[in-house]
Amino acid sequence: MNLTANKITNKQLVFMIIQAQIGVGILSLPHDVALIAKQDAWISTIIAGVFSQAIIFVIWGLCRRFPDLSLYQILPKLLGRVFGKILILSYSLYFMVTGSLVLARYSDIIDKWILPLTPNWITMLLMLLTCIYIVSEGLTSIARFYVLVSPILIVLVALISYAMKDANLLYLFPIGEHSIPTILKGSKEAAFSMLGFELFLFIHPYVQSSGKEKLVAITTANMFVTIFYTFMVIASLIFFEPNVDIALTPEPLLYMIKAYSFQVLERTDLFFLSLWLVIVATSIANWLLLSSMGLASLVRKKHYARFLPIVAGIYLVLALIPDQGKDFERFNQVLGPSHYIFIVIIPVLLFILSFILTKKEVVKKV
Amino acid sequence: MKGIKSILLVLCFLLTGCWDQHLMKNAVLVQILSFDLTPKEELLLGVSIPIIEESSGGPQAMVKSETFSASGHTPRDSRLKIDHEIAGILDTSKNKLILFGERMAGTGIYPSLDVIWRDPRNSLGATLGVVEGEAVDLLGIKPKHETNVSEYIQDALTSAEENSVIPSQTIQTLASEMIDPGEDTVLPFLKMNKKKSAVVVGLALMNDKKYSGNLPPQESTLLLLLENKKGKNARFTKKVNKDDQHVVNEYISFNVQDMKRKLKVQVKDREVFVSINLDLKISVEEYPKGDVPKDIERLNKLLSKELTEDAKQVITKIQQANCDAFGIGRRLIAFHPKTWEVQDKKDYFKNIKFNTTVKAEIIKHGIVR
Repeated sequence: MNLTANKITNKQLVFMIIQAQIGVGILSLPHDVALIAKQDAWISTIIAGVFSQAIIFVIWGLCRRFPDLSLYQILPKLLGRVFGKILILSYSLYFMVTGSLVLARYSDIIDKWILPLTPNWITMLLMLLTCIYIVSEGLTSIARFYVLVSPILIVLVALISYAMKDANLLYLFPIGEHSIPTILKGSKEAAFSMLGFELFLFIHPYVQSSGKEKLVAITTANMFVTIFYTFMVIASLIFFEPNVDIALTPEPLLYMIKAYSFQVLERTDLFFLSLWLVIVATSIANWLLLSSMGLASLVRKKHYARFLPIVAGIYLVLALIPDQGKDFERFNQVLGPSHYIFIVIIPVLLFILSFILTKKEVVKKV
Repeated sequence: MKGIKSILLVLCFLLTGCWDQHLMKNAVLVQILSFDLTPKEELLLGVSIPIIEESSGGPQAMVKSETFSASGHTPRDSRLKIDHEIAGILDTSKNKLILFGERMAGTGIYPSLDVIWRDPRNSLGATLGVVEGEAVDLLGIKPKHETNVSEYIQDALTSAEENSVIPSQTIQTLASEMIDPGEDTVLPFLKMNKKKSAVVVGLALMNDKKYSGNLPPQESTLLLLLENKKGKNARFTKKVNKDDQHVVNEYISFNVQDMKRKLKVQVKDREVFVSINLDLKISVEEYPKGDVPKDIERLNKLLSKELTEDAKQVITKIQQANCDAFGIGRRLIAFHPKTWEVQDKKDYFKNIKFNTTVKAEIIKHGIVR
């Protein structure tokens, strides 16, 4: 692959990881975690952030041993061509399924909150077209776009902070009432929303900085995301009664600001949703990028852009399958273990394997 | 390629909202909803909708209002019946107020609000209120200076809010309080008087989700002060002098300028003690007898004593109604979870021992002495 073009800077890496991590889950995260850990949900969120950081260290360690190769190139190198290719294919499939689940959840929320009568495939198609457009132009423009839209996160924080005027801090107490296993179970829920840093495995060769700087960049991103999520969870916990009320509201953040109207703005939730759309678009774009990159390296094509329409088509078909809340649960049940396999177990095994086989990339000029 | 792109762009603009458009011309905006129980225990829904009349000559169109009502099993059921009756589609997305009849409120307000929370198009910015007698009757009043009933009632509520008679709240902020086992809500209590106008006559006390008593305006204001929820003004009139030749000289009217409240919850042997200290800085607005500075020591003492008595009275009343407006239960859950475990979850509020003191201090007395 051509490594001189399509470079991104270290700062852009921070924003790319942030945008990859924050996605569709943000709306339902406080509900999902609070369902298990109740008022201690915020502790679960912080713990989930710490877990992600541990995995980030492993991922970074793996990348450090192969500074010029993305995971799709490391796999065949470490495991041999056949086994490597099987894994590349399963990675692409995994990203496709994850991506289409995000797409399905996005259109489900749009369907529930704004456009109940519009067919879901329309909203999905519009989203996919946008994402193809973002992704097709290559890594540099993707990164620039992500940096450009990041201020939206600040607007979201500001909107939520406004709702805090009616919050009741007492709902947070008693702190630590729930047992450690319960809190850890809550972090499992939160961890799913933290996913996205695996993007680093695939784009690290394109980042123009030293290994250490890269580590600082992804750590910064992960810390930001953890703080951001923790804020959102605390905000929902002190706004809703944490035992019954929050369990009744699947999207607490939206509900929270629905009640407020400003001079020129009523139904603030619609405003929030339209900003949130951009955040979702960036994460769907990421998965689109990763799965088409996988397919491209499978057939050793240089550019992934030709695969985008095919992959997007698969996304659309997969995303149209679930159409009830129950289906999402089943989808998640299947996907849960695969998250662990692809994000935790395989990178850790590869990391260990790279030591056992003493395989290390000989740094050479391409 | 360029052609395709521009066509796509045009489509984006043209196709938006094809399925989900709601046209204003078809919508009939509901401004007030009312819920009552019929003698057959059915739910009677009343809606007040504005009717805009082209004015003859004047620059502004007149806005009048009309009331429709129908009974059914659930709010949606009744609404469907009203929908058949009127031309256009009922739209509750701009609803500002939901009123409950006394009897309806007595059986619980929560179930009928479900639809408000469930439908994304409903406005959560609306407030709730309880009406003495039937709520739907209040929608039928014909006030003289304002032809639109909903505007009229809302203005009345806003001014009551400013004067700290009722707290400022919306359905959304009430939801958590209603669901919380350790806290109860208070709602505006309205009444229709004989001249066919509406008045806010204080607060309706809710025991969990049921109406269980009410407070007159002065006591409502004091309760809000004790809850630390003062609005813009909090005015009182008290009798401080005896046997003056003019009755008016016996009284003082004052406004609370500034206040501090301390609330402490203590637990001794599973018994809960609550002490509330209220520190009021007041400004005298009316003292026909004259010369406040001369009487200031006596007035401070007397007012403190009177207000303390009143506060005790208020707390006795809300304890009788079992309305934990202070959220003492929530404090127990938060800081004394073990005590909360052994408390009677329903009647815990009645067993709490209160110790209330109010201290009043005159800091201003207008531009005369």
